[in-house]
Amino acid sequence: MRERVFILHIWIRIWHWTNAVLILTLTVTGISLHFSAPGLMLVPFELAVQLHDRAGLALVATYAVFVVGNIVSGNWWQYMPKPEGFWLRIRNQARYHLWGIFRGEDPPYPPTATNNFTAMQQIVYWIVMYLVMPTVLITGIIYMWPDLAPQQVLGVDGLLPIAVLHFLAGLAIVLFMIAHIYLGTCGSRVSTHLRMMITGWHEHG
Amino acid sequence: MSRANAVAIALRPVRAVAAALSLTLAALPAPAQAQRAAPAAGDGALSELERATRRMVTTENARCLTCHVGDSAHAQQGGLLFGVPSNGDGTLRQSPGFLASNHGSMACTTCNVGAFRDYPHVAARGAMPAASLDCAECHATRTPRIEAEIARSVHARRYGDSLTCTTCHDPHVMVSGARATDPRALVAQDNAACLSCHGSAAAAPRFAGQVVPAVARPDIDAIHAWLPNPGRHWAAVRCIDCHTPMVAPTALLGVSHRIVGKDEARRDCATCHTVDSALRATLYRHLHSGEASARGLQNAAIARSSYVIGATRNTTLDAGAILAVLAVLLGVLGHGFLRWVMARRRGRHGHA
Repeated sequence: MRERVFILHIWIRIWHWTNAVLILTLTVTGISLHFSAPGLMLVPFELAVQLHDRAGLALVATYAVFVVGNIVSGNWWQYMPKPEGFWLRIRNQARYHLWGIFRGEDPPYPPTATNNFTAMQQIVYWIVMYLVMPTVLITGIIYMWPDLAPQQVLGVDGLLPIAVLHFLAGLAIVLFMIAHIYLGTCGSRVSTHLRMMITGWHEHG
Repeated sequence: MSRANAVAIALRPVRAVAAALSLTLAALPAPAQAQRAAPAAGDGALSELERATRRMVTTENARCLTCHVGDSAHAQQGGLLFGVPSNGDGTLRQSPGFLASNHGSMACTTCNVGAFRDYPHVAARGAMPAASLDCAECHATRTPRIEAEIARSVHARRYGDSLTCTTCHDPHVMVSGARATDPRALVAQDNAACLSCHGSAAAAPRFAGQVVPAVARPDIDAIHAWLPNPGRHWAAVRCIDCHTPMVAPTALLGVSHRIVGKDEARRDCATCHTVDSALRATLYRHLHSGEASARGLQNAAIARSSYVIGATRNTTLDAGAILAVLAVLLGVLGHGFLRWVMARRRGRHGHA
């Protein structure tokens, strides 16, 4: 019988999957609006605007839940990169993804109750959740109430730099999402991490 | 024959002199950009004859402006036009709005004829009464197309011949798209013309009540509630940019005069919100022409005054973003494929 360890509280799992649905909606509608062309719309423009606005506001709400929930539950500590043996852990992790995984080795740092994330996850998640997400949300809010934007910046409408920031931050999240979904299959079995994200239990081996 | 036409024919010899004087300036062969940059401004580039003409026009107009102060608006005629008798310091009275307008270099009496030439504007027995010429007297080349378009507009269906050019266009202050340097000022001017009737339930009867029974106007915000940020749209685009059908632009006309109601108005956002934006051919027809994209930024002329999602975007950045997404996708797919291949090989070796 495989060893099981409970890792993820129900609030984190609900938050995670709500986030997933919202970010996928925002990605599809965002791409549709940005690359808008008559007759070639992924989602009709008017509908895309409404969906993007509503999903965006919902994401602001789930982000607030994430920040407050992390503080209250102490889960924020999971995201903090720990300096002790940091580079060694990064090196082992990189070696696993570039070599060990192909040879059928087990992941060097499986999640434990006290340490959910690998060093690589900690640093990437921290950047995405505490730098990129606020950027995309704040610029999105300015987008929704465009009078908040400066009138002019460097000879163009002040909304343009806001839009570029929103685009770049959104792009970073999309790139993260692709890698995140794939790395989700890199547990000891392809389904290990996915099952953990649903049940909250991690099965070793 | 209408009264204005009769006056026009009778006054042709008189008008010819004034027209020759004032139109000399109006028809100056200057580069379009220079005309736009400094309408009726410094006269350094003018010849001596042209400068003399301008002085004559200014002196002539100052006579009218002794009483007609402020910038005229046909709808408000009689209210704002009369007031202060003179500057009091001997300087010639001028009207800034008129000077900046398309007609700013013309004599008032080029268009306002007959008894308008003298004060009081009461014609002696047998003399020409005060009358203003039809716009078509000068703008003859574009009139046939405009009249055909107006005949099919909602305005003509409702108001017929009582709708004239000056119902919407105030010739004393109007600045055309070709002359405008600030798109937002052009938008404000053109939308003000529409909103002078459509802006509120109180405004419409001011014109409509004189022609047909006044109709209650729906609230303009309420009927455009589907539009995201309607206030931002109205500051950045003209009513006519959606409420007219697209037409093939000519040198003189870019936008149709066939104003259409909501059923025929453009509602597909992607008409403007795309790289090949309709705004290039309408509102930004003159400002956009000849402007290359700046470091990948498409529709740079539009971006200077308005960010338009889908239109004012940087295609270099877009290409970089698509490449980044493809690189990550290929990376994970390649990694996954290699994992699969290696797992199969391990499986075979395991069984062997």
